[in-house]
Amino acid sequence: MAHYTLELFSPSYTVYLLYFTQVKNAKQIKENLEKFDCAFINPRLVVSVQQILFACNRALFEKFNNASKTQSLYSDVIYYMSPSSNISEAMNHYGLQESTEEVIVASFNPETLETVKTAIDGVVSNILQIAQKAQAKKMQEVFKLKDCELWIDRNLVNSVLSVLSIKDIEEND
Amino acid sequence: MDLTLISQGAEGKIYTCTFLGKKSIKKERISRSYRQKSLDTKLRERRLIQESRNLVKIRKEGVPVPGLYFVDTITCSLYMEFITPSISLKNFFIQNPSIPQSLLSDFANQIGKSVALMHNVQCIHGDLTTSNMLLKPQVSLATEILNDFSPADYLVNPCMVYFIDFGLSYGSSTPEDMAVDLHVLEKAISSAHPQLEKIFIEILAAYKIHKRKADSVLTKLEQVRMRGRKRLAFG
Ligand SMILES: Nc1ncnc2c1ncn2[C@@H]1O[C@H](COP(=O)(O)OP(=O)(O)O)[C@@H](O)[C@H]1O
Ligand SMILES: [Mg+2]
Repeated sequence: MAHYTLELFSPSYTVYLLYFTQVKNAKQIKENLEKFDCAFINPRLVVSVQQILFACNRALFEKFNNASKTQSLYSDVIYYMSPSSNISEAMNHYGLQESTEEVIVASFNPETLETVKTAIDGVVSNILQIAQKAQAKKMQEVFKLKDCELWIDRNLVNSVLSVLSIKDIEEND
Repeated sequence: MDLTLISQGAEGKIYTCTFLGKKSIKKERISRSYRQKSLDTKLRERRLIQESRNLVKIRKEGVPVPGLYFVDTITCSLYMEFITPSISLKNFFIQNPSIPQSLLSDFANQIGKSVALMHNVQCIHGDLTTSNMLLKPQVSLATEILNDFSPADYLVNPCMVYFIDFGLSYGSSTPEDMAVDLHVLEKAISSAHPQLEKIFIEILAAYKIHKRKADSVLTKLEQVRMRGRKRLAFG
């Protein structure tokens, strides 16, 4: 289980991540989603762990400002993974699909991940592998990244985080 | 958070910090006490949003700018990519008395093209000076080498010119605003680096290649220059 610090908050928060491959019972997990205190993230459109940390950070930030977008902290995490401000589109891209064989599980509670480990029929894998598995072409399409911006960096991380950072940013009244 | 103050300007403080596990920059807009409180908050917030949107907008056009990591609307702070190693174009010019012409032309081309790309999407930078441009070596070097990169090292490694500080940026489609943007740069170069004044001609040449309808901007620039001279003569 990998863990990462969200430095923005004091005291800081810790995010725990597990990456499962060869998952055989996604349908069953999806039917029992509300039993788990965590986010199940589809890794196909995740460029790096930073993108997940961004979403966790943003979801917490909005929660503390009483500005959560959805019903739960963890569906907000899914929502802020996506460039779309359409909740169901975000869920489609980043939420758990019945047919999926790979999933990233994110939680602020390490015990939840222990429970998830016993519930998921799959292989725990190294989270750092997700970067190689991301579908670059599809990412580019979903984040509307033109070819001319790709020469700036060697990977998509900065561009993806930039797009996500300004999502739903509006002046308060 | 492990904040280290690296620069303090009139409008904000710049820190390095670790954010989402990465060495990053935090840019915090400080409040100006002479302004009425609610107005001040409003202004800071508006500028913050303006700066973040324009940063992302022109990255999409292919202008090298720091990646944006988070917009904190509560403390009026931006978290962004730490461009490192880097040196401001201003310090690079000051610390390297003799710079090969080919290198100057390379930088001029990059600058002219980037400003054109911004203007093509109606983004006016608002503060085009050599301190708001950073040189970053493009080569991938071992960390030990990157940690003590000296001003002279930038002479021999190909660099990308990054644009920073969109705090005064705004949207406009008038040739006048674009001409003024260029004129600010022209004056910044001639006052900070009088010996390099000629570089602006090359910047304009590159601008002309990449800017749509460049002619109307360049005509305006001529007028803006004249106004400046008149003001000097009769000021
Ligand atoms: N993303 C960055 N990477 C590296 N250095 C930076 C970055 N942003 C700012 N700086 C440093 O901080 C200085 C001030 O930042 P700037 O955004 O220009 O704010 P100011 O409004 O104070 O001029 C810059 O000249 C540069 O040296
Ligand atoms: Mg500046």
